[in-house]
Amino acid sequence: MTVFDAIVRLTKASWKVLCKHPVLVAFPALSFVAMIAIVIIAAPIVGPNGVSWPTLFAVGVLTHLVRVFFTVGLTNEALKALRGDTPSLASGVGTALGRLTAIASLTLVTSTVGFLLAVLGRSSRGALRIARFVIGSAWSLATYLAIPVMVQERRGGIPSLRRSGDLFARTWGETTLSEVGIRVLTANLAIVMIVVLLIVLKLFGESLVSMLVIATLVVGLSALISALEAIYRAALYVFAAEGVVPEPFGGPDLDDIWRVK
Amino acid sequence: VPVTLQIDYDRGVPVYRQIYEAVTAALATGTLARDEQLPTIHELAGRLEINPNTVARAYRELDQDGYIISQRGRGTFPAPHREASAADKRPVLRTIYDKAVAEAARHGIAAVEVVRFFREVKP
Repeated sequence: MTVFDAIVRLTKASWKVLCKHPVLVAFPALSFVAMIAIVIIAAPIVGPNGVSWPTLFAVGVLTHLVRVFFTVGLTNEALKALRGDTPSLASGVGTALGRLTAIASLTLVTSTVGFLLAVLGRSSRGALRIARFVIGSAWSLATYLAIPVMVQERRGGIPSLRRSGDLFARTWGETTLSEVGIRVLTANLAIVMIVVLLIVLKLFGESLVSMLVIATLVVGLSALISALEAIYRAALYVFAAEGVVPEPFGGPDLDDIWRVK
Repeated sequence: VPVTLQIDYDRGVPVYRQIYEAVTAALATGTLARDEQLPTIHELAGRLEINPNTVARAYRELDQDGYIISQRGRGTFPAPHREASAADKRPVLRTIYDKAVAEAARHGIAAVEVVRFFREVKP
């Protein structure tokens, strides 16, 4: 089985869960809407003369906090869906509200690391940019399961990050596959978005209708990708921590993908 | 349910294996009587908030290893006439050891001294 085959099959399995429980897409959709609202509210602060690093960091932390909050809710409900239970928006939001301290500490750590990496990435020196890429990729893989850990094992932010690193040692192949998969999926959907964008602009020109259609499309497709990824991430967590592959990620078609280290 | 089970994610042991060990330990110590029914897969999965496939795998392996028998329509029961093996007793011994080491540590005694003492003790 090629990597591309594996990505297609895993995406199909996530899609199956999402089709059965479409409510799951509401979490990332709400998250995007809230993040857009924060950026719009923060826009006047930026002003024409640019923005200071502390302000940029504060806005970054706030948008990231919103994203983590909804991802916690989504992950809780995705884990429920994989157990055969019925997920709901209220239950997911309730769970996230109950984990606010853990969410805040995780957000603070990941935002700080992300911010430092972004600063590193702005350097004109090639070596620093390579270092940023290597450290960034390693960080993103090692922290991949932090949110499912926080949800299922009820750990705080920093212990969740630590435990995610331990689980990564057992599932590095599947985690890397997921990271690659999500990039391939995003790239493909970006192409679709560009095509649709060109069609919309051709049909309606630079009008309000065009802007609304494009905004809805961007939010909708981004929410879809986030929901699919969160479902796969939840399945990967179950595999890493519990030692089994949840339905519908198992079966002869997918067994080759899952390997315990 | 006679099987005492608390998932310890810090042990680094997959959850299905922890369920397996809890059942064998309960059988070895007699906590789980031979005629006592085990919880259903969905009951146990619901109580532990884990995936039903995890409990199903533990039960499947317990069944394959001859510890339990799943009877369609009746439920899951311990297999009759199976003496506890040395392997069955290992999780129980591990718990006893961990408790002894923790208690010793409270008194400033190192784990290595506990082990040395256990070796010296004549049963």
